[in-house]
Amino acid sequence: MTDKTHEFTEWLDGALPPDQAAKFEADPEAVAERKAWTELRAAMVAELTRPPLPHPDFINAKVLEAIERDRKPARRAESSFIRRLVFGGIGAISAAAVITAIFLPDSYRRPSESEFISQVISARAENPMVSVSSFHTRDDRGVVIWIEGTKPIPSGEMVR
Amino acid sequence: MNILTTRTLLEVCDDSAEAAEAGLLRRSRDGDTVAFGELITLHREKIYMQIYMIVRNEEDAMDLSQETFLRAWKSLSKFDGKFPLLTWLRRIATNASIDLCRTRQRRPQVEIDGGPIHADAASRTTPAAFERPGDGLDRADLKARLEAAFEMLSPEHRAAISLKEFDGLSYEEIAKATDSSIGTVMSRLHYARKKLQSLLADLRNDR
Repeated sequence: MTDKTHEFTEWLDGALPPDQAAKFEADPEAVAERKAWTELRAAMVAELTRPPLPHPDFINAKVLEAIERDRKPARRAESSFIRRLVFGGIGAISAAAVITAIFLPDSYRRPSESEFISQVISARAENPMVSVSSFHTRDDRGVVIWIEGTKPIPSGEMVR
Repeated sequence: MNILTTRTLLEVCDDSAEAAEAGLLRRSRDGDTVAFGELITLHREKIYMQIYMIVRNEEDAMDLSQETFLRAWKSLSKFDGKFPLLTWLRRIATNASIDLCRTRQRRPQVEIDGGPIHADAASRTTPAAFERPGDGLDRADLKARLEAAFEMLSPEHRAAISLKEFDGLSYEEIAKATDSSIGTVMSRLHYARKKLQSLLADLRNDR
C-alpha cells in the first residue's frame, strides 16, 4: 500500500492535516469518492444495527461457572497433594523412629526399668539372723547387695 | 468557564472509573471472581457487539463473548496494563472471532449429493428484487443488501470497519485491538471500503 493510499484513507476519515488534505480537496475524483463513501457509511451505520446483548447476566453466570469448574480439579489435586504430604511425613517419621530404636548404640539408650530390677531369690546362712536384700542405683547403673547380721565378707570373696 | 468545569468533571469521572477498574483488576488477579464478574459487566456489551459484527451470528457472538472473558481470566497475569483492559479484551475477542470464521470457511457447511455447498452470504440474504436494476429499494431491502455486502468482507476487514465506523476507534486503537500495525489497519480499511463500494455500486445508481 502506497503512502498516497494511506493519506487518502486518513483524508476520508478526516484525520489528514489541512496542508496535506488540499491536494485531495482539489481532485474531483477523490471528492466524489469521499461523497460516495460518506453516503454508504451513513446507510451502513443506520441499517447494520447491532442487536443488544440478550440476557446480559447469562455471560457472567456462564463464565463464573466455567471458572469454578476449572478451579475444582485444581483444589482436589491440591488437597490430595497435602494429604499425600501428611501421610508421607508421618510414615517417614515412624520409619525413622523404628530405625533409630533398632540401631541406636547402647551407650545412647536410656536404660529401661527392667534392667534395674534385682531380687534376692535365696540366701543361705548358718546364722538365722542374717538377712540379705538388694537395691539398685539407676544413675550408677549398679545393684547393691545389702547383707546384715554377718561378719564382713572379705573383699576377695565373690558374690553371685 | 462552564465548559472548563464540565471537562474537569468528566476527567474526574474518567479517573475514578479507571481507578475502580484498576482495583477490580487487582482483585481479579488475586483470584476474586466477584471482582472479575464486575469487570465482565463493565465490558460485556461492547465485546458482544464487536464479536457480532465479525461473526454475524447472535449465538456465536454469545459463545465467543464467554470464551473471550474466560481466556482473559486465564491470562490475567499476562496483562501488563500497557493499554486499557477493554482494548486487551477486544484483541482476545477479535482473535477468537477470526479463528471461528476461518474454521467455518475451511469446513463445508452443507453437503448435498456428495458435493459441498458453501454458504454464500449474498445469495442467502439478497432478495431477488435486487437482481432487477431500476427497482426501488425499500428499507428492508437496503438493510439486506448492506448486510450481505458486509458479510462478504473478510473477517479481518469486518473487524477493521466495525471498530472504526461503529465503535469510533482511532487507527492506533484498532491496531492494538487487532494485534496489527497501523499501516495494516489503514490498508484493511481502504480495501474494505473499496469492496463495499463496488459490491453496492448499483445501489447508488438505483437511488
